[in-house]
Amino acid sequence: MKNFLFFAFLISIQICSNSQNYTLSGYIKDKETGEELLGAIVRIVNTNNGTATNQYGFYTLSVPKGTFKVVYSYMGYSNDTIEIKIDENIRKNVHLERIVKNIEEIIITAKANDANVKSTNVGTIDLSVEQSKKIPVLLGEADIIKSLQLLPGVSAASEGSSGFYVRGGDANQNVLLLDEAPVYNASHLLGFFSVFNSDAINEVTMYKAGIPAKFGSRISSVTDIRMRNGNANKWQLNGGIGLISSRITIEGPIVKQKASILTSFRRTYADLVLKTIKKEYRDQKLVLYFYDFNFKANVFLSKDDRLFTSFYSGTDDFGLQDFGFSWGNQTATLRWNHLFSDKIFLNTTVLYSKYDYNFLFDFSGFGGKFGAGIYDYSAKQDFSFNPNSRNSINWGWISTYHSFKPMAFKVLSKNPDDTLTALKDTSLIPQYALESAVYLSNEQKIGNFLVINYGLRYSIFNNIGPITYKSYDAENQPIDTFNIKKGNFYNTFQGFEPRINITILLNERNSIKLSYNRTYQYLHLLSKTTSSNPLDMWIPSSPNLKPQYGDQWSVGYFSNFFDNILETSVEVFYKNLYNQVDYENGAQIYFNPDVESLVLQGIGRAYGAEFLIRKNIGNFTGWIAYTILKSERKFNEIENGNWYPARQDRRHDVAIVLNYELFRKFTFSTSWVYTTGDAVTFPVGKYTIDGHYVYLYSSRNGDRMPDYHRLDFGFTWKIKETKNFACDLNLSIYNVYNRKNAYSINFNYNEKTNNIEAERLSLFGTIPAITFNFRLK
Amino acid sequence: MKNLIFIIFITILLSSCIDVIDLKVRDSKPHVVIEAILDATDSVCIVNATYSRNLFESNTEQKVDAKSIILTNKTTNFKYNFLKNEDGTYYSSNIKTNEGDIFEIQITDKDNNTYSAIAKTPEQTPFFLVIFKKIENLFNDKQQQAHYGLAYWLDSPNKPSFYKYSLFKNDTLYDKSLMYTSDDFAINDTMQFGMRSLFYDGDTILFQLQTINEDTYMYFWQVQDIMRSGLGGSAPYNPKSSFNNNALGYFCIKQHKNIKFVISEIPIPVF
Repeated sequence: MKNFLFFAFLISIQICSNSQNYTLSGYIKDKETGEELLGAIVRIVNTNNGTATNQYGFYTLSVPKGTFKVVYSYMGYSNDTIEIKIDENIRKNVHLERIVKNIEEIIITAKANDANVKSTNVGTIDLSVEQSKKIPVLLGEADIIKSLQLLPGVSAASEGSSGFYVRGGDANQNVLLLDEAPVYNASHLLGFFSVFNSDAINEVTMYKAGIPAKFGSRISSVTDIRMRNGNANKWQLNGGIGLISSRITIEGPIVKQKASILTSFRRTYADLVLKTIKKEYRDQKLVLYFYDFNFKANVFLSKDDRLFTSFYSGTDDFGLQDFGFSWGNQTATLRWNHLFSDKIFLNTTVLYSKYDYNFLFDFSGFGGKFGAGIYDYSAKQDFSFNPNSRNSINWGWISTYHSFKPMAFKVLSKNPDDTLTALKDTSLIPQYALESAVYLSNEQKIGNFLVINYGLRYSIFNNIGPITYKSYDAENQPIDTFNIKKGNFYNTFQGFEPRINITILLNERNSIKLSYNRTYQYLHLLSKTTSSNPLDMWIPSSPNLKPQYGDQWSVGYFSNFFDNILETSVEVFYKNLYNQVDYENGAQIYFNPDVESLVLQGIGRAYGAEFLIRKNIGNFTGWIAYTILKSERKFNEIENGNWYPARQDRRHDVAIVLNYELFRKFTFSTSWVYTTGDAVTFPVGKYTIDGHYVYLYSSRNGDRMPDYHRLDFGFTWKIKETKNFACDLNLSIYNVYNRKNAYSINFNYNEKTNNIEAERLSLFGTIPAITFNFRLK
Repeated sequence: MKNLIFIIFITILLSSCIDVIDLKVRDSKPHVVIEAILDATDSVCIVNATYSRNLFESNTEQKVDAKSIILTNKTTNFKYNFLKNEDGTYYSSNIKTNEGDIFEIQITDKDNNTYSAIAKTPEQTPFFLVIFKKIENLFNDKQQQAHYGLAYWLDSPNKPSFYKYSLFKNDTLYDKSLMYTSDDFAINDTMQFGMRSLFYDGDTILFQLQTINEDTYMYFWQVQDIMRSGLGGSAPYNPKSSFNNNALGYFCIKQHKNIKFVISEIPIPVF
């Protein structure tokens, strides 16, 4: 404690000692669209003084009195060098122009060429949506989540899935924030598409380690996805017509440079096509589609105030005449940015997020419905304070009210003769909770070669009534019942989450980075499947269920070559995970009022190394990513309390992505992925019970699915590009060499051979797709 | 154009496939598997003991040669010995039971390994009613009609009860799926079972309702659980055996009642 106070004292001295400086601040924007450039670099020439724009495109830099040349830069844009006389605080908004020639050369990072070496971020991925659109994907639908899965440490949960594992963590330990609102189930069509329409997305940043103090709530990763603000200078129309879906985006200024809107819509039409082709589908009233709707508006209220609002709604619908199943997310964000001074920036946000699903059926003589959901209402404030050129302080708070609607079944109609009437109304008790956090962090430059980003987050979680909850004995039998009145807090968890990132700049091209973070996760996903599942059900931590938390240490060496054309990095990480979740054998997790008693909690660990070589500039770009990983779990009730491999223990994970641009008209892209098969439990024997074959199992996850590998190919032809109109044709081939990757392996009895056979289910063979994209401006 | 779209969709649909693969799995040492069923209604206990086999081995069961089998009523301390019926199958008769009696069964193999299990005698099977309903215009065919059956019975209130069914059609086990339930599904203390079969005029039906001990119900629940795959399926595991010493299987004590009837044109309630 003494040391901490001394350290704080030193910082305050340093802050005060720089108080004679002036502030240079402003927004950096795209000249054509007026869209803010996030992470753009500002540097004072011939000094080490510099900064980057924040998540709202705003920068602030402390500068002594004098006249300086200031360079504004952003990858894929022309640098702008401006001579600025500093004798007072100056607000300088800068518009950078895209380099048309190199527009296709932007690779996964959209930030400065040397950002990977100099930033304090460890285990962080910045994804360019432009590049994401060029990576060949299933059915030709550009998908930022699928692009993230090609980067080191990130791996698709299953074939074609939008779910993913990060550094050996479970899929539910990742949070996806769309304009700061959590998206609980990012999957369409059972996971084959993500809910993020890339036309509406501006930037994606994933934190696998060194998670900033402002983020929390999940222990594996945070993915911060920002929607575009819309073109602030002129109206434009973008769209795409694909094999399975089409999309359209309209954006433009309401008041030029002051207010703009963007609205985007995407819908699949498999049902329309099938109904056109076959009368049978028309007769059965087939419904099979998903849609996404994005809306964003922003307005400058004054030079110091800006208001944003964004909304997302996405729904999947599947049904025939006698049943219907729909599920989807909704998020809404209302954000106010305010500058108290050129040094203090405030972001105030209120958020809403919803995920729910409903299944409705009306079979002859018997009708019913069931569903579940989670609803979040949040408020937060984030302050940024740049007292001088060496410190950047952030602090803030967030509070989220969670409402959990558990799975409920209701009989709507009943024919007494029907054989299914044994089913009856089942309803679990809704739960409510308040999750809050405060944080404080500082990015401090010490000398010219050391940058430390340190922070502390304190999170607290309260269960709130009304509820009647039970306590259980060792045999999972209820032993006591507690009635809690509405609004009463009846249980509290809390924890400190320290975060620290250290960057040691060895020279302009090499750095070593270290990080440590602790994160708490107070929500748990009840799911027995590994892939995305519409029936996902979230429940809160409670007196019977402790919060998960994890510690992660990470060390990386970053080195750039050939004037930052070639980036390389090696990161080594180690994670300890606590209160991990599994289930008792035979646990019935749906419609079970005592489900908490069936949840097991244990520990986990994951460790490994990630290697990345990436070429960012030139006609030939791409990257090679390799991850070696070990992920294990330990539960007293499983494997006699010994360590066993987690399902996502994929020892080797390789992704190669290559792009080649020819004559600025054609772009060829290809990707190849390889992963070790998932750790699974295959039967090792068989026996007969009551005339049925029953399989004999040995160690949990002691077997491996066959290795997974796949080659995809993409080709884009820019048909036309004029000042007012552009269009291109994208052709993609998924799984070029028709590899039959196993989605699942089932063991079945074959009456003909009178023996057991292993049956492999392969989801996708070679699938070609074609998409026509256009832009009117 | 329509044809082109259709071809593309078919390509996608057909690109998924299921095929049999040559998969290497580990071998396992044989485990003793015991199915011991004490039929309290018929006063008979039958034990079937086999060994587990490797997954892709022949399906010919290897029988356990039991050196001795002893059934003990722990309530009365009365012991029953078993006779060999055929290899791996043993029986004992004239077993006296009362609801709530605790029984222990001990099986010793030729290598002097002993496997034992304990179970509690369930309550008597309640009387039940079977009702048949005629379905006309079956499969939208006016010429076709069939019947389906529903069984009803009153569940004992304030007492956990577990049930299992067997359904024979024309002397053949008709529905081979594991059929069991518990009074968790009772509505106003009334249990109902819909026979998942269609019956035609002249069919001879034998329906057996059993009450079983809780451990057996849980065992079958777990067997069913691991047979499921997809949504709601569990990580694979071995059902919790009733027996100690690493033997697999269950010790079931059951009571039962049967109804046998012939499907006729006129639906008749059968008791």
